[in-house]
Amino acid sequence: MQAMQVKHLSMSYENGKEVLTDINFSVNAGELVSILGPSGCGKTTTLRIIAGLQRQTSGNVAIDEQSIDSVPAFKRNMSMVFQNYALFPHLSVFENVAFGLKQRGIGKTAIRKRVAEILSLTELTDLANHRPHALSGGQQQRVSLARALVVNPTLLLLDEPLSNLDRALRLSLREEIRRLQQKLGITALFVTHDQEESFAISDRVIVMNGGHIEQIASAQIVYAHPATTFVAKFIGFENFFNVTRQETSNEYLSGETHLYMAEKTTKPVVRLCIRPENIRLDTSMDTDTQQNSLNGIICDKTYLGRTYRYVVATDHLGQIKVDSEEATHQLGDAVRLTLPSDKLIALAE
Amino acid sequence: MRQKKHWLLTLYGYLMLLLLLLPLVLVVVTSFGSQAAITFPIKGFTLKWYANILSQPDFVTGFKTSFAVAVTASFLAIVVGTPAVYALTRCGIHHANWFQTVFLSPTLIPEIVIGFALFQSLVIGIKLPLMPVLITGHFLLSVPYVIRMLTARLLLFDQTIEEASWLSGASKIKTFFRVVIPNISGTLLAIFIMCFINSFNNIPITLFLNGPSLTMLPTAILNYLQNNYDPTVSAVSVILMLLTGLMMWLMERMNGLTHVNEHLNQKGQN
Repeated sequence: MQAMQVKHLSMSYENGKEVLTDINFSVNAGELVSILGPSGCGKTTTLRIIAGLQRQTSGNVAIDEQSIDSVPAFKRNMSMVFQNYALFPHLSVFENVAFGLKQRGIGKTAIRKRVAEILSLTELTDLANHRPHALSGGQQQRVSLARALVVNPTLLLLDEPLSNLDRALRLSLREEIRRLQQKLGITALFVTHDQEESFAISDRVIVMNGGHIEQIASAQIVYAHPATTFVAKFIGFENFFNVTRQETSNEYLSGETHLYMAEKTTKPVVRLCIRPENIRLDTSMDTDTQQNSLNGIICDKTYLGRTYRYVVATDHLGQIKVDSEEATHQLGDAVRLTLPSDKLIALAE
Repeated sequence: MRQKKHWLLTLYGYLMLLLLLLPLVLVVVTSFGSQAAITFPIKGFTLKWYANILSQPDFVTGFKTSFAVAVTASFLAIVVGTPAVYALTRCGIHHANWFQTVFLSPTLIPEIVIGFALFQSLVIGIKLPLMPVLITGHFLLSVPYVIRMLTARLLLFDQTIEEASWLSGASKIKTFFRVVIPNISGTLLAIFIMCFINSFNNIPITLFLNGPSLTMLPTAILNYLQNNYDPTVSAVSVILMLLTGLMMWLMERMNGLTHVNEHLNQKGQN
């Protein structure tokens, strides 16, 4: 069941600058969807329009098929977790969490019970009487999460909630958000610029760029089958070849090089791409015409920790980036690259 | 991180401090002098000038009126200024800078001109009684302080906190009173004290707007000084200094200005 839909949402500033162009998507009940994109892509604006903190120029936002465009933010029954926590500095942790319930006119005993419940869920019981400034960043964000969950929102909005935290904390809080969201069956929209974060936490990913949506799919599909060049670049494809398709539908020509793909596709293809870690790097200089193989010279080598990054200059396909665990190749070495046909991805745009 | 300062700089600092404080020390010392005229050094020690304050009805009523006017004007300035600043910093008003300048404009006009203008237009012109005009004058004097200091504080107050409150179900009005006001109350109190001190000690505006029926303390002191040159004036000054000092101390205690200063410092560095 679709809990929230965004239809033909557009937004531009008075000076004519367009921030969002025809955004369409929906979030199903109990689902966590993330919006992934670089800064300035319009993901936060989308979230703020859904929350009612900003007005769209056209299009609408609907909850359970009902348009909520005329409903002010404070009546939308949504909650938001902000990047900078945004806790009420003058209130204790308990009072921060109780704030939303108080606004809803709930009785004191009921508030105490509900707040205690959510504080124990988020492991904040011991901090109930502390003021926000006495807490660490991670604790503050947990309070913010508790404050957002306690009101049982129709939609939980998370705006880069982990970006101010260090890595270890980011991972643990990410898992906690996912655990609580699933346990409480809350519908959530999560905005982030971090690909790993978005893949790890969400049921579906919306990739945005320049104010429009590039792809909506599960993390697995986005990872394996990026829909556009932008998505491919954003999620780690680094080698792109402009191609024209030959008669047989799985053979492509890039300059003078023939490339073959494992699967046939009927869609128009302008470009093939492949991840650096999927290219095979050999020293054997076979001259045989093995499929998708080409010769090159190593022109750069960087240690990345788990692997080495080699940049290989080829005659016809330019510089190709390859990640390999082999440390033996040296600058200037002649090598042979193989681009496995099942790892090549075709892009239509 | 305290750096060691050059001794010349330290000396200069103390010299300036001495220059600032010496006149005040003189006033304090002379207020205890037993001679009939203000002299320094003093010959004998007495508290009779302090007792004399109470025998001067102008000082007593002047204090009461000045106090009442200062409290009313400062209060009005905050009641009017706070929503204005909130609107200027939050509502994306067009030409906000222009409005800001208008609100600050009383500081650009010599106070004596404001006093005269008010007298000419409101007292002579439409024959208003002195009291409301006086309060208006002191209100005009105070508004720029409210605008200036509160703008700094509100710009520093994270707007997402207000957004969090709206989304929690509190309307904008409720958010203003339950989230914004409690968080800026220290600054508001500090501003109130600042306005109070300014208004209480003001002469240029007050000069035009007092009369036989309305005595204010600073003008009462001036009048007294024209006819008598005895240490009663010093004694009154000491009491005023103590009062001002007490308020400054209170203001520090409230910590209300820390935010404002931090903001101004940050601005200065940028």
